[in-house]
Amino acid sequence: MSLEKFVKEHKTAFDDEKMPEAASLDFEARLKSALHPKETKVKSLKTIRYVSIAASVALLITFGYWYQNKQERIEMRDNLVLALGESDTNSSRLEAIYEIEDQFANEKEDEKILKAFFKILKADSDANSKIAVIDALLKFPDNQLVRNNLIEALGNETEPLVQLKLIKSVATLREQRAKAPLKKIIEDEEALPLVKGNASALLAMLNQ
Amino acid sequence: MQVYQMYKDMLYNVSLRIIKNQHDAQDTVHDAFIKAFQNMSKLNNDLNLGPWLKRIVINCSLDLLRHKKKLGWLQESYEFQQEDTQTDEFEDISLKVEDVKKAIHALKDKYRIILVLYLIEDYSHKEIAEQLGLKEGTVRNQYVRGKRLLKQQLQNKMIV
Repeated sequence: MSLEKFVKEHKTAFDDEKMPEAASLDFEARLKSALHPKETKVKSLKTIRYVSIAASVALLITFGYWYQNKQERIEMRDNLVLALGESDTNSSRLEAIYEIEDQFANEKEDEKILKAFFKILKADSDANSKIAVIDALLKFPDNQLVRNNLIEALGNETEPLVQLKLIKSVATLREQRAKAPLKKIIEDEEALPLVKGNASALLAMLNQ
Repeated sequence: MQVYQMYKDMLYNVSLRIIKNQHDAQDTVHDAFIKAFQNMSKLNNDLNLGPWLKRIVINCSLDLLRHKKKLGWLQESYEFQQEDTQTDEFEDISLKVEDVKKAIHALKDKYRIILVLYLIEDYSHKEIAEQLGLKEGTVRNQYVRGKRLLKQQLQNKMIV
């Protein structure tokens, strides 16, 4: 059964917590005070002035810490890459990949991060992590290293789901150098017919 | 108080799933009831009372997280390319509600909240996007990711 179907079918079982009885008394009191609200005080100009000064100071401090923040970003990147390398479960590895992608989403590709991603592609990692890495790498279609590594992975990968993802990726990149690994897949007796079919279709497209 | 007694547990569960803190969830349910009572005239049909209260408590719960600055991940979120959902097809494990609850609870807020709103509270991706101020594509991708992480956790558990 699919996860979605399971949750939808057992939805009522997820509502098993009870609101503590003592909370009802608390609510009655709150309801009474809410129905008889006290008059609100008008903020004085003085307060507004203090707030503006505080805001200006905060702005200055923010500006002053800009450089420090930059250093912290580098440190954060190193920690995330380290965490990725040390992930001992599939879910923690997947989470680390997503975290890196989120944190550095709008930035130029980073060599350290790319290297860590390439390592996952080459290693004996799980399919979900590899697919997540491929998605992340595809955000840099013009990077030659990214293209090289995706083609290399296409030639070495044996997991069907990842093979399909790689074929789709290489098709997006319209990479002529993918012909050799595609032929290898087509000739591989152990490759799934679905994978072979996709590889043949892409090869035909690249030969046009 | 009748309405309160009738719906308090349901709303408490909804809020607790989002906030993950019992005391805050209780307060939020109370805030939601007070808000609802103050705006009762806006409810056109009494039959919609339950879903209407649910919406209010979800709004209040998200407001509380915003207030506590626990929705900082919204700024980090951006529109991804449509992710491949191929891997979500191989779903062949026997599940237990308790395990799924624990696994959802363990997810990071950015996946958990979207998953809870979509799977349990029946929000559409579009509604979640509007509620959180995100693009619909971002919500869809975070959902796919969250589901992948959830499945991964459940599979790990089964292996162990």
